Amino acid sequence: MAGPWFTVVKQGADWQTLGTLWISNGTRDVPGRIELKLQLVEHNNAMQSTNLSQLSD
Amino acid sequence: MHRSQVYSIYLLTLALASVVAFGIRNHSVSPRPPHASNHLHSRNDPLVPPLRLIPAMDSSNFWHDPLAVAHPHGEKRCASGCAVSRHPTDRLTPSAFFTLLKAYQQSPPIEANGALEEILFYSRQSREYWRQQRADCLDPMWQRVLDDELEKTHVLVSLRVRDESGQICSKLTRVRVPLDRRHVFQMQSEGLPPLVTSGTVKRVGLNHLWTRL
Repeated sequence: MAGPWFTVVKQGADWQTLGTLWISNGTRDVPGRIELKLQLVEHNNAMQSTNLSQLSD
Repeated sequence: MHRSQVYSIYLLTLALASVVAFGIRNHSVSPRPPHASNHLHSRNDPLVPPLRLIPAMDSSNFWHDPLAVAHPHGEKRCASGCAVSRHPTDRLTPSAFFTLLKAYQQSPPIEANGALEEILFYSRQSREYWRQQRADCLDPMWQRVLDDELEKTHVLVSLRVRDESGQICSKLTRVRVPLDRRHVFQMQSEGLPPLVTSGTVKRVGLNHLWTRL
């Protein structure tokens, strides 16, 4: 388990490193890092998706 | 008072209590159509009535891509019981929105406009009030900025895990989720067990987004 990570990023910016972690495939452990990129999109573009959260606000 | 009178009063009270108890037992559940009620009275039905979901007024606000699964949220905290994911947005009132709207028009509609950034933080709530109070914003330029910015209710999330050599071991590419809602992401991995990632994105300004992952 890794994180949680809290961060503020500029929307549309390039990859930003959130933190470091150990990656293991069961036989080998190596250091790694997790990176994030975010982009704001409009309401109408989002409606092209196929799922809907059955939640009220 | 004679003993027989006391006994009569006791019997009358017992009869009344039985009638009231019968009434409570048969009418305390949610109302049903008459035919359903008659059917259920005929035998002891062990089934719990199905939960009825009431769709949100503007359900299109919560569209998300298949690689993201929404977590349930209560009014103040995540309904899944995950205490660390508690990060609700406060309630915005119509009068508070009106105050922000007046302050917003006092300076140019750019990132340095604190009222604009606060309006955008409230996202969907601001969007609803903006529909009602748009006429209180007099300048077309200020109107257009809010028209455009409050349409941005979703975010494309991209994540990747890279090893020390720079090779990508796990990734999530441009998955759409609504703002202010916690989602669990299904990352695509190579040579690794499946990675479970979850998080929430909130808008905290014209161009800035807060995340917890």
